[in-house]
Amino acid sequence: MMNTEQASLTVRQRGAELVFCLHGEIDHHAARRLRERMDEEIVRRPVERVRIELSDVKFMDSAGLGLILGRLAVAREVGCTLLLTGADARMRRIFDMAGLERVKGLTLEA
Amino acid sequence: MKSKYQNEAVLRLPSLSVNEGVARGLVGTVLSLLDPTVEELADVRCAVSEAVTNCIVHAYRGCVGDIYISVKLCEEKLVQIEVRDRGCGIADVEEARRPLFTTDPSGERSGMGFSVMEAFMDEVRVFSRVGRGTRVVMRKRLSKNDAG
Repeated sequence: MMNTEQASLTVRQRGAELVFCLHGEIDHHAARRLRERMDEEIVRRPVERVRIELSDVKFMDSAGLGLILGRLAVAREVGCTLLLTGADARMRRIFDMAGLERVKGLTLEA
Repeated sequence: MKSKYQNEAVLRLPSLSVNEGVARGLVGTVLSLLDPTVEELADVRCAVSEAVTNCIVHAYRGCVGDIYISVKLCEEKLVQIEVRDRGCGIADVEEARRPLFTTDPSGERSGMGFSVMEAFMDEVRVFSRVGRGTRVVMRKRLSKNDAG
């Protein structure tokens, strides 16, 4: 229960949507490890939307938010929008604090 | 207000990002002695993660230094957590605590670290001196359960 679950990423493409499933504990350490691979995938695939699925995330702090915002910037550069799904109440609270619902190109699924 | 503490753990970790999770785990283990709710445990782990990350990203940017974490379990289920470093220090603490403010140039930081600490703990105090280091002192009083 007290073990830190190593963060990981699964990637799949569904038509014009690139889906990232994040797993485990998404902190600054995880963000550093995952962001390059996420950016590579966003840039090389001809998709219209990037979905980041959060339902298997066991922990997220504001570094997870930074990971999301950094990927949004890259997605924007290649003309994609970003969709966040599966956020729990705690994550939504952090997103609310940062005013995420007002960010252009980003949708938080209810 | 000084409470006579019932238990205390003092941890020293180098400012390696892998230790963000180590800090969360260790603090969580100590906090479990107070029988926190799932929410309270998650709150404290998140706040600690933010404070420790600040030491790694900001205090000791470009180098590795020591992060000192003390967890004090006090009467009436009060927990006090202190995260201290000997890093670069914060020139303007008030500015640093403002939501979305960050001095990190990478574009990967949200600037929400202190905001999250304040949201999940009852009280957050920050003491800092440029060139000397920073001390973040956070308190939370856990709810009494039926048995306690």
